[in-house]
Amino acid sequence: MPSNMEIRKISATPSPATGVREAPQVVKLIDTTTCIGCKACEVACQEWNDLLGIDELNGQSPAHQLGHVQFGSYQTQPDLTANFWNLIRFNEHVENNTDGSETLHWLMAKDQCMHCAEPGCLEACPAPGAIVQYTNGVVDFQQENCIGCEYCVTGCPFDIPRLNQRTKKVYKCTLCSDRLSYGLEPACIKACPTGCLQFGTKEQLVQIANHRVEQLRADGFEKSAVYDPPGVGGTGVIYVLKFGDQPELYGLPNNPRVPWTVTIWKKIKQLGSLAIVGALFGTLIHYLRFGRNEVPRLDKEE
Amino acid sequence: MSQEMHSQAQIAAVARTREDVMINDHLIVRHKAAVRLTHWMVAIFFFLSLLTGLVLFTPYLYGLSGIFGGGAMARFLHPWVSLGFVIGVLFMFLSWRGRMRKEPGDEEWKKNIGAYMRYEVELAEVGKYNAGQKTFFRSVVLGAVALLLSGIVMWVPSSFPYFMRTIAYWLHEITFIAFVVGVIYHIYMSTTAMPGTLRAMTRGTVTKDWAKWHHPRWYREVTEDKK
Repeated sequence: MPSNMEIRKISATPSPATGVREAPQVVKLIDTTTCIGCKACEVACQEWNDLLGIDELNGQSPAHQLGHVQFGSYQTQPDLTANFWNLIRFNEHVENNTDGSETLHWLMAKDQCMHCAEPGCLEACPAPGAIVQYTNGVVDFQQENCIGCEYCVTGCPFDIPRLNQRTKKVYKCTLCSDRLSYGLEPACIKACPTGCLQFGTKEQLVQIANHRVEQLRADGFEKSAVYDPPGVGGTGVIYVLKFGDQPELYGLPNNPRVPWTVTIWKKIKQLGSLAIVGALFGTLIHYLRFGRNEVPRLDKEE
Repeated sequence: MSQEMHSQAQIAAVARTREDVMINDHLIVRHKAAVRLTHWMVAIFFFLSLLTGLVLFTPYLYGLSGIFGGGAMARFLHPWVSLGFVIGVLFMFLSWRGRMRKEPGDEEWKKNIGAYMRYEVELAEVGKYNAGQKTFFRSVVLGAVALLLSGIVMWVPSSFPYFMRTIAYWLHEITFIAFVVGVIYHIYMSTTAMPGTLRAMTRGTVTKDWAKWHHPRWYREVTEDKK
């Protein structure tokens, strides 16, 4: 992990995380209205993280692994894989206008880790230190501590982490934490030609996003909104959406939160631990109160 | 003296092959070698599953992963040793179920479980296994099925739809907890609370007094067979 980034949250570790200094939260802003679908960010991600050469399954490309090469879209491949962490989704949406005509919208979405303030993956993870959140908000997987249980896959409300079948470890976008530690912006941001991707502190970029939403509303997209879902405490990747009332058009969940099933599951573990300790204690109480059921000597009576 | 040596030889010979027989005027064979082996194979695989599973159960016990060469190894081994456990339970179910059938008197025993645990009653109609032991047997079998089904989903979660995964996590967790609580009492009863019980699973024999006290109907059956 980058040496100059401190840890705020750490998976499966009851004692406090090591970070003591505050850092401003950094975010990526994705303005879906100015994305042209050039996929430069995908290439930059693959290049910087050196993922292109990884033959995850018998030397096949990510698209081959998913079992499709042609699937009727300009999208690079159908889904994220363990060696493809940043996918521009080419969502098509037909809007019914009031005059009965239809308008086709191509709603680009940048599918990647959202770097939640309250990460469901981290909460679900049972391996100490396999998932960390730095004080700047970046959520990072530490594969050397990962045990490959895929609990994080279930904990993630955005369906992002992917298991590498050979290493049995889970991978996802790091928000280029290695670049950040040297004061550089993430590779995808660097590559974006239209400026639809921006990087900075959350404070700054929320302002920029709100300003852009005002512009869009003035242009007639009245439902425009910033996507920074509060259910997961806000995210480290925020969107400007033209159809802000329907994030699912972009493949984004409407009100994502750490799945309640995962939260309850962890509660069951805690209650279960108490039940087990209670049962042990129960045997002690029983023994102290009732002792042993000694077999009486019956033989002699005969 | 020679008669005593003779009966010692009988113990060795009979405990391997037949159960429910008096082997001298003091001891009864309760579990033949095959039954004991089945029990201990299930127990060994249970503890391997338990130790590897506790690694994932709570971070407080993650240190146990050191026994198995790290967390990733514990995660890798857990499904395999658990499969051994399930196979053991399946074998145990098939070979023991005849003995574990419901009998008249079971209901009566269940009504008196409080008194039984306070050592106030031992019912005359208890056969080879009391209703508590039979309930434990059935619970182990059902628990193993639940752990197997949910465990398969947890083994390769990405192959299953989301709702099945979350159901599996809950089911596995709840069954596991109930299982451990059951096993704690199983071990406590057999090793500590009921003197003379453990030897039934180690040497295979119990004393006549023990049988008469805890399983009177079984004792009567055995002694009648003998006549």
